[in-house]
Amino acid sequence: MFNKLHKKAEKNSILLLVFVLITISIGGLVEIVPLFFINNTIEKVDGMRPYTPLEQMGRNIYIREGCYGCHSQMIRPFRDETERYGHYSLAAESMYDHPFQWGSKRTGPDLARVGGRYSNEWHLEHLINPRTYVPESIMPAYPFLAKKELKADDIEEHLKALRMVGVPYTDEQIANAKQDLLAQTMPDSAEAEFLIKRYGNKVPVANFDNNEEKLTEMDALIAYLQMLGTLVDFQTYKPMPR
Amino acid sequence: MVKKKQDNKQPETMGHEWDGIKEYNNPIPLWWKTTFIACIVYSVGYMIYYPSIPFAGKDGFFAGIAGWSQFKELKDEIATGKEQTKNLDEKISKLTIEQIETDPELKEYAIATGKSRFAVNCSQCHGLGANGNKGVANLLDDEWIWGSDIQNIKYTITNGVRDYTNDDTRSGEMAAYGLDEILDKKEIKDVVRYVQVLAYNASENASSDRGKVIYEENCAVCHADAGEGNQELGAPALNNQVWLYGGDRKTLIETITEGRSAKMTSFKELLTEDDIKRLVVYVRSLSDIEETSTN
Repeated sequence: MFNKLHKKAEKNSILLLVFVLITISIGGLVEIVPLFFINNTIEKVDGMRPYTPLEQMGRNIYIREGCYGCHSQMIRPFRDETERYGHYSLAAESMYDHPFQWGSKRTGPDLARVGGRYSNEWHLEHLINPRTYVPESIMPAYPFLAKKELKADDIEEHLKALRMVGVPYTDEQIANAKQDLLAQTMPDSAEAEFLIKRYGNKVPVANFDNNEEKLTEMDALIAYLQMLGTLVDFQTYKPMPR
Repeated sequence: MVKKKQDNKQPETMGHEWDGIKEYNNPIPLWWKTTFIACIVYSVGYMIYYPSIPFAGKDGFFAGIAGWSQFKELKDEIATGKEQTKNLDEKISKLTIEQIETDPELKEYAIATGKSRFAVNCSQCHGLGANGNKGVANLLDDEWIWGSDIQNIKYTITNGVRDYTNDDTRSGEMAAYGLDEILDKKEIKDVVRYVQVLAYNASENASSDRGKVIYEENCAVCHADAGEGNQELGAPALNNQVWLYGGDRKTLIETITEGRSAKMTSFKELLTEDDIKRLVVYVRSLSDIEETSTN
């Protein structure tokens, strides 16, 4: 009987295709499905929040400029990496990333925990010309980010789209997206207080690009960089026993 | 072997034929079959030893009898590393920086570990070779803005410079004499001319004489009468050719017009006390401080 089936499949390409698909699906399902049921695939941690509108726009610029081509955002659980970059990355820290920025291709350093490591001024000068501080750097210069006004009329739509794929933005956050976008570059303002109320006190608020006249792409990118990896407090984080 | 068989007898075929091509019905090679079966047998052992079967056990998977996990492996790796340098690390944490510097073995260790911490935390501004940048101090030379002795370097690293997130930070701003309209453009040029006399031994003239008067009224408070500078205020010396921002005429005019307030991060929260000790020893090893500090 088996021999007969074999002969049939050999001569009928559609049937062969069906069998191939079934075989590959089984292999894939066995690898993927258990992850949905293992308790510690995504750890439960305190502190994670969706990106603020400005950070989200910065993230879009990060992706547009292809920063991921050289920088990963994934600290692996190895001694050399944790000593250089800090605590290894948790899956939970990428839970609101669409798409995630993991990777193993590092021409530049990993950026998973770059937030708060350097001053805003450092980021500004470094992005305008990386050679200012790191003469041996081969990173391209991005001076145009400081000149280009941030185009974000559709910020609500961005947040809505992210909500569709599971990021828990509230109606209030979406309704105030435009105001929050500006507020993050206005320290000590009433608007900034509302922003912090909506997103928590770990939101970096500053005039990131030192330019009071307009909201630039530089503002957005530095705001994003300055919060990377800062949300989970590792002083209190206890890894699951395993 | 296959050839031999073919010589003796035509092997069995699968029975089909396309355009005169037939398929032999030879058995799978023995080495291939054995490897295949060995892999299956090995996988059973692997599944028992390592985490494997989903939907079993309290974490949602069978954890394996070895209890292996990559996080445990990381923990062990860090523990092994710490164990290897335990004696030296304990000494670093017990002894003062002065004592560390007098013990050659310990000093060498502090320099090596300080260097790696420098690469992670300091090199982004000071440069991998510690040679500084515009507005960032060069740590290789003998010129020090805030002092080169142990306590001063430790204080600078711990509390930073003009990092106002730390109340103990080093402060002291140079005024923007041009932007704040304390001096006009001509006066600034005169002062620059006088600074050039101090720094480069330039010849004195009418302009530098006018500059000298302005200097004594405005600048000498911090930079001292002969431009020796003042480390307590972080006022760099002007009577030499070491510059933080640059010593050409254009840069000097810019400095006096706009003022300068270079910042350095306070590392109090970012580094441990022991890390700072290592950094102090490393930074002091870069220039021949022992000689200069005894002077």
